Amino acid sequence: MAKKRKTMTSRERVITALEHKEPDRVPISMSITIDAYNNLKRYLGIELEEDLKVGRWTDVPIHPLVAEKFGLDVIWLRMGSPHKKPPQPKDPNKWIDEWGVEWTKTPRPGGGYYYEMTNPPLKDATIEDLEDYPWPDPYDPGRVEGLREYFRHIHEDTEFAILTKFGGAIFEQAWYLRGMERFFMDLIEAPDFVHALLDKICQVQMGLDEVGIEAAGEYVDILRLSGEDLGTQEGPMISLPMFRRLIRPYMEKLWRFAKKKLLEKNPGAKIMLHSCGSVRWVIPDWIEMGLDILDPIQPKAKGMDPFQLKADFGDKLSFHGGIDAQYILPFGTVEEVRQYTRKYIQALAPGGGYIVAPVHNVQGDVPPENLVAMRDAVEEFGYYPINS
Amino acid sequence: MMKFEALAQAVIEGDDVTVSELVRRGLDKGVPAETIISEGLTPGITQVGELFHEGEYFLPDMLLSARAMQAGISILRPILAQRNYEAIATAVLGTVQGDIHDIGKNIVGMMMKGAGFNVIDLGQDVPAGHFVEAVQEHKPEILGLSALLSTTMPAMRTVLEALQEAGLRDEVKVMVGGAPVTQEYADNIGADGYACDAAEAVKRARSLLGLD
Repeated sequence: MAKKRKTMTSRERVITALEHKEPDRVPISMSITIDAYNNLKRYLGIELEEDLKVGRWTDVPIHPLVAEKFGLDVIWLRMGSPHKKPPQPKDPNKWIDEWGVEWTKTPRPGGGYYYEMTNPPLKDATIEDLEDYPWPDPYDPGRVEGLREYFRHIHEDTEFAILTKFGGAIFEQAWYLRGMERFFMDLIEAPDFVHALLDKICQVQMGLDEVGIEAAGEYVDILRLSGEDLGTQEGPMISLPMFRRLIRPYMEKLWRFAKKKLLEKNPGAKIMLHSCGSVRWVIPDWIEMGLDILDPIQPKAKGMDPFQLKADFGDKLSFHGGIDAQYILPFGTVEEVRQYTRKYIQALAPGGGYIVAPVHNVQGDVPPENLVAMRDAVEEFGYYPINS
Repeated sequence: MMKFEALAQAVIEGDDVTVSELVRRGLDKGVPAETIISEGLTPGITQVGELFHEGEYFLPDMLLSARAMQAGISILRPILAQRNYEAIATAVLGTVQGDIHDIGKNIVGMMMKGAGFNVIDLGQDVPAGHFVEAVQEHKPEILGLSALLSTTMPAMRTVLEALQEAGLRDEVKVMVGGAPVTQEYADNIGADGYACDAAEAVKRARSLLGLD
């Protein structure tokens, strides 16, 4: 058997895979929450003082040194924060994001915490109220201060592929603002309000993509179009006709705008969407809308069998994710993680078009040895040609 | 004569205004509250559950129907309470500690009310001790635990252990549900039942109580 060895840089590996060609080995990517990150650093023996800026999803950026030691091929970089910040509540366990959504630090059984949305600011709003609402300012200079320099530094001084997000979601941001129950009922009862709200959100997200891509687009390999969870565990959140009627017009406008701008800066860049749950029903639409990569392929959701997804969509769509975070990573044995990763490589990696990653920001209940087991499985089974 | 079919249809269509109107008219005509539920609301919400289970109805439809159902129940409940109406069983529901997601649990609650259960909803982020207290106080036949996240799911085991410690485990049937929950997990922690959606939850609850 030929000795496995890397013949490409991480960036080459990722770009090759996303061109639907077989690189030397399947690439690896990961995003992570604060507790899991600190656990991983301890496990890897990395003593690194960091001023960790915890995001909305309790996520933290992975330092390049940690990414290198762990063996990641993709590094996730963030846009800067706006200078103008909304007023904050007195309760130290709560904070308000720039959209006006309240987040509460919610303790988890067994330790750790997670940020949960707790007070949708537009729950009682009318269409008229949307005009006066203090929408985020995409052109706040804080967002791009130092951005170009940092992205260039990572691009020139490391071998990572760069994944980033500038503009955020359409559908998700709408229900963050309105409350999920209220927004879902609006979809049937108040379509005019839905159109008005999505239009406002789309304008902001387009602005964010515009400024981010202008500042650093040439260094971006993967632009994450945020998370648009359109599936539940069992099926669609909304019907396909409803998606096409109410949501797709705004999503498509944003995606086409972002992709056009991005390709002008980096013709080889790709756009990626995160959508949890059972989403097979909408994949053909997303491909039509220009999607290059789908994340995360939630394994336990209905209809998300990786072999079938590859067979049906693998010629047009790359996949990012696959490593189950509902059972395997948090509760599985190291051997289960190894076999699971092997299965997903066998399903999704032939012909390229796959980047291994946990299906969500790694939560605090995932033991670091399981993340290492995932990485080791890629090293064991992920060299091409994939042995099925 | 009351138009029970029209009432069921109003629930199916998520029309809370028509549900309220028809319920009030029925009461004015002297139709017993429990008959309005069993002949009008229950068939409506049962059909909604089936439509969801079959993939024809989605969350927006479910939420509107749940609201419509609640509009009817909130008019009828005080009347039923006055008449010491006996539900077929009592179910205590709650989302476990650390978890504040409740849409699924709320839909289950609505479907169970429609099926004739007395439902006591403890809300979200419920510590194990509160579940135990609720079982002691209300003596439900069913205790339903909901979790959306793998990180909060372990709290279900904690509730079962707390019930065991309080000597109450054999007094109640415990059902579990939520996105990360599986039959395997339910068996693993010693729960009595699991269901993948609200319609199935009602069927499972009835089956656990020998009502089918």
